[in-house]
Amino acid sequence: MKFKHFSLLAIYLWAQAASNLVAAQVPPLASPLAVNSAPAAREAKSITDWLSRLHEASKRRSYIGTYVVSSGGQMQSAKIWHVCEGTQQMERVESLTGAQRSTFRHNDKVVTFMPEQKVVRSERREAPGNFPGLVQSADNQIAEFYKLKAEGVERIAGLESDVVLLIPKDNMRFGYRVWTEQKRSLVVKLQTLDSDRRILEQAAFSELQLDAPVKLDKLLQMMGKVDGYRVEESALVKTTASAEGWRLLTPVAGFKPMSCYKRPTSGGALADDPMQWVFSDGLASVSLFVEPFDRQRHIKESAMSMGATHTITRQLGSYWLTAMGEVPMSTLKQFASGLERKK
Amino acid sequence: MTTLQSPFPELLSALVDGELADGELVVQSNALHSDWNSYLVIGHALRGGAGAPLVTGADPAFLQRLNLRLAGENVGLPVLPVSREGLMALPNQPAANEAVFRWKLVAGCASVSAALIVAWSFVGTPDTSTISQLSRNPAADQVLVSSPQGPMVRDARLEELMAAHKQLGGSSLQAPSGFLRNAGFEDSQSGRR
Repeated sequence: MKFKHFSLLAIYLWAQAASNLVAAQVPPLASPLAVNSAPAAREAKSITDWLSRLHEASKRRSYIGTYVVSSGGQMQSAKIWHVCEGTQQMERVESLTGAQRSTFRHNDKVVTFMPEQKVVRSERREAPGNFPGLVQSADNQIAEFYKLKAEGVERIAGLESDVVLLIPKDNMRFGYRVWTEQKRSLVVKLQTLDSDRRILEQAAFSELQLDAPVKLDKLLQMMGKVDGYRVEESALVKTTASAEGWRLLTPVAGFKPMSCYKRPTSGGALADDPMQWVFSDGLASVSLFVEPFDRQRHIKESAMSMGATHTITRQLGSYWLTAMGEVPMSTLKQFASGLERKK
Repeated sequence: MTTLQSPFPELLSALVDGELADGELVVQSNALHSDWNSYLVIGHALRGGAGAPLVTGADPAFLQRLNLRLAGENVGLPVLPVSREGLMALPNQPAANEAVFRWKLVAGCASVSAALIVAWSFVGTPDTSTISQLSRNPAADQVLVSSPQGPMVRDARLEELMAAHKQLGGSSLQAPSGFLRNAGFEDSQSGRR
């Protein structure tokens, strides 16, 4: 009897020793047991640092390149000039596909030249397509919803680039494969991936000249040459969802409200203009457009996808909702079912 | 293939090509005559067979009889009376590749692709004039688009909302592409104003 107890103790001690030996041989990053708070905090810091570096690179670097976007069976390309001097950022985009169009962005001012119509549209936009505040803020939750995985090195547009996979931790968002130029961390290629890692959309520089001699004052001069053009000012009216009488009853995991606007349309009263309520999880974004229901136009609730951008429409009483974003359809449905008119 | 029998093929060849003067070569035997005919045929063929067909070495009496016989034959294709029943019966005939399943797959894919291409031609970025028309007649501007989630009505208004989403949405990763895609969608917006 005593020997039996001794043998059980011996087996236990042997198992402990063996597991310690194995643990000692596994590198700490590859350990599947690294679930305690310290590694989680490290992971959060690493993903935030990585995203901040990317964001800084996209702002601070000067470059000239040809950018190609392939989405929903369509391919578009454009030549981009980007320059940063001090706190000023300037960008020029010349479309190479479809109608001729030149877009200039100086900080938050965007001017678009449409030479065929002899029209210039001028508008103010918040930093287009990015939410640096969300990435850099202390309460950013990106690491809660995505994890990073290094996938090696590849050459893109003639530049050695690190390949990183951003894997979503739930099925509420898509994954991304990101190529960043090794020295400057500029994103040179980006793929949006569905849950089976199939490519929904991709964009890449086909050629890129980093630290190119782009002159900000020269681009500013070009931006101001509107002689012979009809200038149209676009007016976005900033508002809040609450002021418009809407609320999201159930928050959607990871998505925070970023901004809310009313967009005046031609000939319509302001009350009839669609409200655009924008949410983001730091990487993906969702827009909720709410407008009065129109029996003629809003025939049938439906769902559609174009590349990574998904859309659903719903009738909410006497209103019509169009939810749109680079997220799975199920996420849009959560937004749609959570949105309600305040009593 | 004709086998040349003459002991002087080079001489004969030169004679046929007109490189020998008359009388330089004497035709001495039947074998040489046969070769002579062969060279005529070869020469005619090498010159592309232009002009009247060359008939050599054939019995003229035989040719005459053959021509008479051919004239007497009804060589035209028989014209059969076409009945309605016959026409109806034709589709029921199995195709030669009926049993090969991959052909059905190919045909199916081709039909779907053709349908998608036609649909896409409607969906592709509309030009300004189209947009203007759409704005005037909202009921007629809607296009049914097939997507993995099922058919959806896509119209100029939806294009406008999409442009607005690209403008204010996006992420730090997608900054350049969001900006570019936005630029790509701005046509539809401009047309509305």
